[in-house]
Amino acid sequence: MSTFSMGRYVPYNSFVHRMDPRAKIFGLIALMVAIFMDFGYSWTLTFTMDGIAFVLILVLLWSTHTSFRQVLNSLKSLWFMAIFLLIIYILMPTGTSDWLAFKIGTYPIYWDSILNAAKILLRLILMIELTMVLTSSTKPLDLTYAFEWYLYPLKLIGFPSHEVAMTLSIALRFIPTILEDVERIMKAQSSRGVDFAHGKIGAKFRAVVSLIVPLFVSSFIRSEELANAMECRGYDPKAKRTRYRQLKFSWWDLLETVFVSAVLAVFIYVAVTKFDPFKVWWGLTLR
Amino acid sequence: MPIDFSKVTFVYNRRSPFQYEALHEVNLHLDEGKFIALVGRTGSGKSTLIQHLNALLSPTEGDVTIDEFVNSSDKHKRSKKLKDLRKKVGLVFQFPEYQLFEETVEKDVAFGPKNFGYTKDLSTQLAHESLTTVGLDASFYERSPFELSGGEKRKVAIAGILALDPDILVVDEPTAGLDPEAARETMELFEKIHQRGKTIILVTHDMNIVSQYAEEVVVMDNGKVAEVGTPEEIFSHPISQYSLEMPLLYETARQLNEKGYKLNEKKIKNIDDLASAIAEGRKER
Repeated sequence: MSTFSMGRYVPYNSFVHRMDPRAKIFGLIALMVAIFMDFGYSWTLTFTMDGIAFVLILVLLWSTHTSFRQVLNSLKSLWFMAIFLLIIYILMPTGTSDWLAFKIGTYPIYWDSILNAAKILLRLILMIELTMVLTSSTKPLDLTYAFEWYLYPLKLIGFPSHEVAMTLSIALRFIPTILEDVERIMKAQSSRGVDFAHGKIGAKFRAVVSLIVPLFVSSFIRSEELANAMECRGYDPKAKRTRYRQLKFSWWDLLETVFVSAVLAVFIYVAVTKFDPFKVWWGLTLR
Repeated sequence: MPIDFSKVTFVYNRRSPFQYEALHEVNLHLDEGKFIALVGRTGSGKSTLIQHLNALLSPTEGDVTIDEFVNSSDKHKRSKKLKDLRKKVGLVFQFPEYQLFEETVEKDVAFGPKNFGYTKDLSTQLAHESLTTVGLDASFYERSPFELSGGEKRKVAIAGILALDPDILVVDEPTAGLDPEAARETMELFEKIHQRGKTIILVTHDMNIVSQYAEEVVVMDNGKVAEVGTPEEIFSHPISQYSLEMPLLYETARQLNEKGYKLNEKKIKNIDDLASAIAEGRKER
């Protein structure tokens, strides 16, 4: 179970936890857009802005009680992609060709490529941590409510936003259940001598089959039972319904939304004007 | 193969907000060849305990010793080929029918032996033997496990573990969800396996089954072993603090004694005993 706990909702009482999920989703998207702004080849500017985002996300992680270990765990699955990206970006000639870092044989490697690779990697990490802040501080159900709220305008053109939100919330609801199933079946098959961690390709394939087939069977049984239970209680997707849990948008949420918007605005402004304080005020550049 | 737990503590989701201590310094010695019942309320640590028996879980602290195998929190002490323990200790989970996946019953039962490196022919032969043991004849071999009834599925799943010919068989609530007839058949199956000299460890909530089949009872409470003894010893005093119900037989005898009978509760092991004790009591009057 411990391996699956990454990004799972952790009940604390931070200001991020108390925030309205709609505001949180908006904040996530706004900050992500901000992180991925293009500042051209002005590296001082790029890394300053990314640094600001980095500090902001660190504050968020700290305030949601995310430990350093959890952060490392969340990045564990990234290392393969990181190495792949680094190699691709470093080998790709980008930017000005006169700023040479070194040569591998006769193949030139440019500083711009290296910095670009670092930028991409940093931004990926920031994106993952940002998503982790959202999922670890928001109940899945609140997320789907917020999602449904955002889909609301589409209802006007006949989009089944409630059904989609319901499907989504059921899917989210069953993730831990299915993970429990996975664990249970893996243990049962391990008792029959299946080794999920080691072994040759053929043995591994059989191991996976011995997990997938029972998992499908139990999932189908579960979905049928759920469908019956919902129908027995008279569930009608088209019916008008009120909610037990109401989303409340407080002044505090508004303040946070304005703050995030301001951050995004600064990032956009800097990206558009390429306003580099280091260069303009102090005449500094990175070479 | 005697089993020894020495100061075994197990913690789930260690160092996280979901941290939960399921076992707390459990010391337990279980003898070879006995029929042992493991009882206790839900969440008392029974399932965690039995998963230590074939190294699905390793203790957070302490050692579990089974024969030459040591399942320890200390990596240096832990036996190298701990997975071979699974050949000696067969673990049948609750609702084992959900582990079936092959196209035919025969293949599914032979899956275990094949995983432990037996040849195909030998695996199939072991599969046939264990299917016979659980009472499924040759007409089942080529059928799909998914088209069987619930009770038959469970028999196939149990056969899948029996095919490994384990010396210790651990079963977690084998009778849950079965009709009385199928439940009786299942329990008689374990009794039969026990007669062949195997150790049986049975997790159950049904005290009637415990009083009928078990030779030794381990009561668990709150992650600790609360009591160990023969069924007669355990049922000779109130057990409601463990959320357990007296077996009907003992309860009947006790209530009869309250109403003036003088039955020796310790001598009553089945309905026949009870009936003759009552009859004798009547003659004496």
